Amino acid sequence: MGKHIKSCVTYLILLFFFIGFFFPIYWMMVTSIRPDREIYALFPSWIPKEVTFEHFKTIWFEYGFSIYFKNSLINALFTMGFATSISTFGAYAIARFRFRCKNIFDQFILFVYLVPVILVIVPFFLTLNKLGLNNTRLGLIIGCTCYCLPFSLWVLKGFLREIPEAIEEAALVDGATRMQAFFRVILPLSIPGIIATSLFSFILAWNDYLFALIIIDSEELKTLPLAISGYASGHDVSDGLLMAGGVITVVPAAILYLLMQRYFVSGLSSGAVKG
Amino acid sequence: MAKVIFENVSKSFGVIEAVTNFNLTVEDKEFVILVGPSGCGKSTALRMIAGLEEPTNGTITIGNRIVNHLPPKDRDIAMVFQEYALYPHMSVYNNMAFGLKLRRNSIDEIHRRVQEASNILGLQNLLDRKPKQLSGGQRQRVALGRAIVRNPAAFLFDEPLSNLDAKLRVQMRAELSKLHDHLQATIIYVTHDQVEAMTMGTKIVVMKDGLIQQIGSPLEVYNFPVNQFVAGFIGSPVMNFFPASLIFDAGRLIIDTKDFQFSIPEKKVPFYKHLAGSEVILGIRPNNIHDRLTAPDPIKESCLKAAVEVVEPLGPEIHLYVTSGRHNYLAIVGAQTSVRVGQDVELAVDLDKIHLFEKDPPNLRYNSAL
Repeated sequence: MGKHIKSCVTYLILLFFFIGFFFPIYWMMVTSIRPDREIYALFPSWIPKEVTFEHFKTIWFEYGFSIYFKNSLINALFTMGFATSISTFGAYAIARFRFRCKNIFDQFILFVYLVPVILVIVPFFLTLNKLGLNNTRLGLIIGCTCYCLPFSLWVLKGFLREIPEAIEEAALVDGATRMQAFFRVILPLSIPGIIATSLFSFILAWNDYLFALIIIDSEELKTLPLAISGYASGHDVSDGLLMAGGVITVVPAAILYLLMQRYFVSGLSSGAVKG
Repeated sequence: MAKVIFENVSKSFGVIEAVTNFNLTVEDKEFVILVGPSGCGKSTALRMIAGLEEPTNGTITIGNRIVNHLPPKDRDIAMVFQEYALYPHMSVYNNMAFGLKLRRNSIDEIHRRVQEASNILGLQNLLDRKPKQLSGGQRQRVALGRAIVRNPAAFLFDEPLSNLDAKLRVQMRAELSKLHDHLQATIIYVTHDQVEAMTMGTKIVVMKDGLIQQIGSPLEVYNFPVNQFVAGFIGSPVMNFFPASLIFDAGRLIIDTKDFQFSIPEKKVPFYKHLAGSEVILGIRPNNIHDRLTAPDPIKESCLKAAVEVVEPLGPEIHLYVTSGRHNYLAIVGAQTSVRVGQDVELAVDLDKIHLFEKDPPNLRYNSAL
C-alpha cells in the first residue's frame, strides 16, 4: 500500500512538472492555429473548435518572417559548420597531442560560461566595430561561433579520448599520414559526438537573442528571436500572429533535435562522463 | 624481410628512463621475443621500431636504413596490437585492405592479397562482418591478416594473446609459430608471459627496468641464466632460491645454507671460484629436486631432509611444498612418490643443474661473457 502511495505521489509530481513545462508550448501551438474570435473568447477551449493557418500565412508573407527565418537559418547553419569544424580539430589536438599549458587549457575550457554573456558581448561588440563587422551576417556568425566553441570542444574532446589511441596508431603503421588517420578513422568514429556538437551549435545559434540584439541593426538582417521580441513589444499585437511566429521559431529546432536525439544523448554522455 | 638493429638506444619520458642502452640485432627471419615484467620497457622498445615513439638516443636500423626520423608509414613494418585495434566501422575485408588502399595498390592486387591472407587464417566466411560481430580469436586473426597482407620487412607483435582466454591462447601460440614457419618472416614479439617466450621464439631478450638482462635461445636462457632475475623469471614453476655462503675448504667449494650443505661439482668450480668467501644465492629448479627413493643413482648422494607441508598431485608428477629449516621451497617429484603431508622426506638435488648468483650484484646487466 505504502509503495502505491509513493508511486502515485511520484507520478503526480512528474505530471505537475510535465504540465508546467509543456503547457506553454501546447498553448502556443494551439493559439497559433485558432481564429482570433476563439483566442479572445471569454472562456477559450483547451482544444480549438476551428483550425486556421491564416496567422502563419500573414506572419510569413506580410510581416517579413520569411526573411527572418532565412537569416536565422543562415546564421545557425554557418555557426554549426564553423563551430563543429574548429572544435573537431581543436578537440583532436587536446585529446592526442602534448603541448604547453594543455592541462590549464583543458581545465578552463568552460570557464567562459561562468562570465555573464552580457559582459562578454560588450568587448565583442567593440572588436567587431573595429573590424567593420557590426550589423553583418558574418559578425553574428562569428559571435555565435565563439560562444559555442568552448562547449563543443569540451564534448568532443571527451568523445575523442574514448577512441583508443591504438586504432589511430594502427592506421599510422598501416600507411596513413596523421591527417589520413584523422579523416578515415577518427572522424567516422566520432560521428555521434560531432552530431551532438552540431546540434548544440545549431540550436544555440538558432535561439540566440543577445548576440543578434547587440550586433544586428537593420531590419533585413534580423533573426527570428529578434523579430518576435520586436513584434511583441510593438503596438496592436495579435496573439495569433505572435504565437505563429513562436511556432515558426521553435518547430525547426525541435524537429532537428527529435531526429538527432539519440546521437545528442550518446554524444553528450560519452563526452561528459569521461571528461 | 630484413634485419632490425638497435644501437645504444635509450628512451626517456622526462626523468623516467624507460629503455637504457638497448643493443640488439634481430637477424632476418628470426623470431625474437622481448620478455619481462610490466614496465620493463619491452613495449617501448617495440614502439620505437614502429615509429610510435622516438628514441632519445641511439639509432634503429631496419634493413639498411636508419629509421629514427621516418614516420611509421615509411618503415615497412606491420604491427599487431594487444587490443587488436581493428577499425570498428570497417568490415573485415576493408580492415585488411586498408593499408593496401593507402598505398594505392590496384583493386585486383588488393583482392588477391586479402583472399590469400584470409585463406591462411580461415577468415574466408567472415570478410563481410564488422569487428563487433567477431569473437576474440577471430578478431586476433583479422589483426594478423591486416599485417600479413602488407608483406612487410618485419612484423611487430605487442602482447597479441593477452586478451584471449587460456585455451585460445594455447591454440594461437601454435598458430603463430606455424605462421612464422610459413611466412619465413622477421618477427619481434613482446610478452610478459615466459611460457609464450619459451615456446615461440628462436631468441629471447629478457628485460628488467629498461635494461637487457640476457639474450639467448630459450634453452640457453633457461639452463644458463646470468642473474637471479632471469633465473626467477624464466621457467615455470619459479626457481627456488636459498641465501647461502660459498666456502672454499680443502680444495672443495662448499655451499652452506645453514640448514643444509652441498659440495659444488668439480666441473662447476672454475665458474664459481671467484665467489668463494662471499654471500650468494643458490638457485635450484623444482624439477631438479627428486625424491631420493626414486632419483637417478648419480644424484642420490646429494640429499637433504625436508618436511612435507602440501602435496599437489598433478597426474604425471607431484608438487611437494616442503620445508628444510628456515627454507620453504617446491620440489617436483614423480607420480610414484608416496609421501603424505606431515611426513619427512629425503630429497636428492641434481647438483649439475644448480645455479649460484651474487647476492648483491652492482647492477643486473646483461653479461655478454656468459
